[in-house]
Amino acid sequence: MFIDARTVQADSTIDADICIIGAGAAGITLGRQFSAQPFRTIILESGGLRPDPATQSLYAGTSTGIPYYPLDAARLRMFGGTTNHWGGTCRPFSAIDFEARSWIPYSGWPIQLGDVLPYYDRARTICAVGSPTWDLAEWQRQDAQPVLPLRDGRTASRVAQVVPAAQRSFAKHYRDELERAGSVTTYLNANVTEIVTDDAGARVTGVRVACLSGTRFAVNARVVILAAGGIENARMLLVSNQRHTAGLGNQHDLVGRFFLEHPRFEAGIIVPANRHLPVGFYQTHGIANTRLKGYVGLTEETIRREQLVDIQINMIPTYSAAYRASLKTPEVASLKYLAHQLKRRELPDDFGMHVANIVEDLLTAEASFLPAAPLPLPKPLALRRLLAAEAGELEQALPATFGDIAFAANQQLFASTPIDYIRLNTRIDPVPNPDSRVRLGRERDALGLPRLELHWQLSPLDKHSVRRTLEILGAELGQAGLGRLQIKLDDDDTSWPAGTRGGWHHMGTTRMSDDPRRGVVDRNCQVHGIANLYVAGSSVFPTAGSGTPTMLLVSLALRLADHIKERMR
Amino acid sequence: MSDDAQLSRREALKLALATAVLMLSSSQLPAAAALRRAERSLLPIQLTTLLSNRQSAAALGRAYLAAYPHEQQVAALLNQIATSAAARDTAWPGQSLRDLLGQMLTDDFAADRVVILQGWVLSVTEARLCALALLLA
Repeated sequence: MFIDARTVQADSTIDADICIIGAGAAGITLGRQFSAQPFRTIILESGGLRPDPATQSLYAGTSTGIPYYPLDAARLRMFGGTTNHWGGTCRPFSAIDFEARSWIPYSGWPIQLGDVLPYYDRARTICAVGSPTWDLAEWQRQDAQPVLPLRDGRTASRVAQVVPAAQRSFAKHYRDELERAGSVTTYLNANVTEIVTDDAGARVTGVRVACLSGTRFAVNARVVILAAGGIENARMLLVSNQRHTAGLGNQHDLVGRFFLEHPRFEAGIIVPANRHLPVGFYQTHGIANTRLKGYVGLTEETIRREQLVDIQINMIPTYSAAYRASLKTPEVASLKYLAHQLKRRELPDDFGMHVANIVEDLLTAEASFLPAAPLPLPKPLALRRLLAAEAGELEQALPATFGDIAFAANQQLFASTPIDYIRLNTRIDPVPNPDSRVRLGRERDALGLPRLELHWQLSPLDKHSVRRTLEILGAELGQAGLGRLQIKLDDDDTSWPAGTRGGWHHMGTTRMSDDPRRGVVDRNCQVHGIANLYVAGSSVFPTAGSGTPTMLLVSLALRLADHIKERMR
Repeated sequence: MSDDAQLSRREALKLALATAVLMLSSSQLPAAAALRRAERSLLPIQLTTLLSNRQSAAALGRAYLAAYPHEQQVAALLNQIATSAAARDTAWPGQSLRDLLGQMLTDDFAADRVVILQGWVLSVTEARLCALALLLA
């Protein structure tokens, strides 16, 4: 059942067994797991079913350190949470991601990959990831796109799957199910302002809720699960400081620290020896009903020997100038626009103009072919011009002879489009850094809660790892005769390129450790020192990992749900 | 291979390398006229690829010599390259200079004998060839 919290009687109290704060990927997963259970669950979601600017502005904050996106742009405060603008790339974590590695301070999870694996395939299905297969060799048996023939063995190509855009939103997929769930009630437009504890501060008793309309009420619950996102989870613990002045679970000043992202930036280029080097595997491409995208990284053996963090290299080819120019012509733009609109079953007002552009371009070829010939034969003059052209001139001559649409289509469908160079976009699994953190700021939001200040920081090993990974890849490319690599990073490991960006992955701010001096939650995601308060989502990750967070956080939510169900027996 | 045989092989390589680089880097070929036709054709494809753009080769050569000033003499560079080549367990001049240099580049990369010049990850041999071309130009 869905209820608009703004209709709840002011100053009333609602009783529940389980109270889940947040209806994003983790909150919705938990709610679904509790829907057939003999206990009453409430989900409190700040937003509604659609984006609302006033609600979204509750996410606003400031940032220092490495420039970051506006905090109210990188997250979505509505039912379904950030899955409503999720990029859809999925790759599971590896065993090494969970290990304490001597060269990476603060690394190591209290659980192993084996503790999560039983939940991974269910999480994969929940996230609408197409295939249970992640093995490169298996995919290569079906994939027309080969991997780079690197021989040295220090690097490896890997596979990620991309969830189609239409299937990414948890709101779209699971709203109906949650609405029908008898034992789960979802309150929309319900902002939690405080998690309340008993006088001793050892147990939570419930939460306080406020709506932007002014309505306030309370929820009493036996168990509270914080599932508000990788940044907001920390904020909720910090603002709940009536009994514990430093915030809940913060007796060792860990809440909000170790903010992790997957930073990415363009770090180099490859100039291929052969301009038709096949790199299609490293672009999003389809095999059967699955969308795959490949990338390159170091082997685990190399990472250990070199003592690096994991770096993922994505390849973005820059095609020949002629091909790029053909894509920008009005004719090709019209074709792509119309195809997009017709797919959405929409007829644009300027339909006629676009059709005219396309027809005029297609008629270009008419002037180059012999009229009334039984087969499409180019006129002798056109043929002579094409045969006499040098390689570079041919690229210019083809569009003029056959039209831009035909040229672009031929390049995409039948020819290996000549590449000028390949840009290398690197993604880092960074060293956990306690000085990278979120904390409460001085400004207040519309509900009177302190806004957050983010200070994003990385470590010298992160940048060194990018540079060393590219050196190794460059050596392998040279050895295989495939081309040369240029690293576009300076030698200062304490500074970061201007284009450094995050991936909207917010992790680490309530990290997991069995030792309360090193973590906020234990291996079961229970907040240390508070027996009935749990945290779900990527804020519990002690390391960012070589995989992507969504499938893992859903796996952990499933695991937590099992733990709670066992507890509630 | 005996030390004497290695020495003479190294000297022969030095001559061939210098000749090849000279022929590519200089528009006047005083030495070329004296060469046998067969030797004139000994142009490693890697040299051609690298040195076909003289500006690029010169830039990389300059960067290499700035990083390794102790190799700023033709003799020093030739010695380094020829020593590496002579140490290989292959029968040159049975193998063409082109193939030999190509294999040296491959082996450099495999053994991580690379230099980073202006960000470019290069085999140390190809970097030295660029430096050689710069000094001989």
